[in-house]
This record gives sequence, structure tokens and C-alpha cells, in this order.
Amino acid sequence: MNNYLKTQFPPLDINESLARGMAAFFILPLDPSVEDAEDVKTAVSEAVTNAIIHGYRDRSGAVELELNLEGRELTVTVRDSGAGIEDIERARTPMFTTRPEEERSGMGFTIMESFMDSLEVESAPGCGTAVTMKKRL
Amino acid sequence: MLKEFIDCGRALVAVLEGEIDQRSASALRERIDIEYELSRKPHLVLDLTDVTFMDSAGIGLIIGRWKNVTSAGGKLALAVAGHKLIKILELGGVTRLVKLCPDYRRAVEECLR
Ligand SMILES: Nc1ncnc2c1ncn2[C@@H]1O[C@H](COP(=O)(O)OP(=O)(O)OP(=O)(O)O)[C@@H](O)[C@H]1O
Ligand SMILES: [Mg+2]
Repeated sequence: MNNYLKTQFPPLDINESLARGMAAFFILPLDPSVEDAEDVKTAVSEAVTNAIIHGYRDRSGAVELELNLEGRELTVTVRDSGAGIEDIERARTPMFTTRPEEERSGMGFTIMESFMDSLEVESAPGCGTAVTMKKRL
Repeated sequence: MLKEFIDCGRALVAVLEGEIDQRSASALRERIDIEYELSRKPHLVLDLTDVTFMDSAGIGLIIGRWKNVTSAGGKLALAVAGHKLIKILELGGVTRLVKLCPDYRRAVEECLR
């Protein structure tokens, strides 16, 4: 089955649960295992939360969530036009966070990487960030 | 969300429910920290048996409480049911720091050991 869903929403924290809920519903027709569904929800939650809190902080803008299914291959893209990441390698390091004062664990990228089959990060300071994740369901 | 606090002698139990993400974590942190301080108990148990979802914000919340409680000389223990949260708790390094128990009573016993 091939299908896609493209959405945009403002960077509000209420949209974190909306985004992971959309992802869960989107893959439901494939009857995924409970664990796979949970993994996808968690990875989407991480990427969208990052776009909201690091990408836009308190500024306005749009977060884009794209879900794409080709057969049983899911591709998730989360895009923001916010702050961008200076050093992507460093940002992906487990336990690295630029905001330790807020009790962040710095585990977002590590979770996306291990809960999905692949993770790609494109980013440039001042231009925004796109995170693409794939998983076979 | 916070369901309730339970007074268990030398331990305070915070019963959480629903989803722990960036949105809910900051309010949870504040309520738990205030109650823990007011209770003047050394130990803290986070009962996660009714938590349906958790992301890295939950890891941050747990590790933050672990730091507070251990620096005050107490112990932190978790009540976790089923396998749902285990994967993220392991990946987040929580299982290396904190004991996981099947329910809050056993988590309280663990603190008192
Ligand atoms: N969309 C983004 N825009 C700008 N910076 C980002 C974005 N996503 C991630 N980052 C940067 O990468 C760092 C690491 O991200 P990661 O999700 O791994 O950890 P965190 O968000 O800091 O903590 P946690 O996810 O555990 O709450 C962030 O601290 C931030 O500096
Ligand atoms: Mg993050």
C-alpha cells in the first residue's frame, strides 16, 4: 500500500501529542506490532519536540510533518525553518544537549536513531532543520 | 499527569498517569518537587504503572528527580508494569541508576532496604 500525509502546524507543545497520534493512526492499516507503533510514536515525538523547542523556541513558524508509506516502508520527515544546528555530529551524540538547565537528557536523536531503522539530519544555522527517519513495519 | 501522592512512611509515592512528554513534564517536575520538599521524607517513588507513553522528557524528569533525591541522602525507585517503558528507560540510562519494581509497594520496600 502506498499512502502519504503532509501536515503543518504551529510550534505549540500541544501539537506534540497530535503529531505522534497522527503517525500512529497513519500506520494503523498495516496492523503494526505494538512495539513498532510505540517506536514510531516516540521517534515522531522527539523530532517534533525538537523542532518546537530548539528550532523555534518562542518564535512563530510552521512545523511540517510528512508521513510516507511505500509498501511497509515508512518515511517520516519533520521540518522546521528555525534556528538550525551548528554541529550536527555533536548534536547527535548521546547525552549532548544545548539546554542542560531544563533537565534535558540529550537523548532525543539517540532515541530516534535506535527506534527507527535510519535517521538523517540536514540542517544549517539560521535556515532550519529537516529530520528524515525510515522504518520497515 | 499526576494522579495522586501516597504517604508511605519514609517514602513519598507520586502516582503518574497518561503521557509524559515535554508538555506534561515541566508541570510534573514542579508538583513532585514541591510535594517532596514539603513531605520532608528522604525517599521518593515514581509510580509509572499507569503511564501510557514516555519520551526523552520522561528520562529527563526521572534523572532530575534521581539527582535531587540522592543529593538529599534518599533513594529513588520506580514502579513499572509490563514492557512498554523498559526499552526507553534502558536506552536513557535510567535502569543503571534506579531500581525498577513491579508495583509501588515493592518500590517503597526497595527504598527502605
Ligand atoms: N530542530 C532543531 N533545531 C535546532 N536545534 C536542534 C533541533 N533538534 C535538535 N537540536 C539540537 O540538538 C541537540 C540534541 O538534540 P536531542 O533531541 O538529542 O537532545 P535534547 O533535545 O537537547 O534533549 P532531550 O531530547 O533528551 O530532551 C539539542 O540540544 C539542540 O541543540
Ligand atoms: Mg530532543
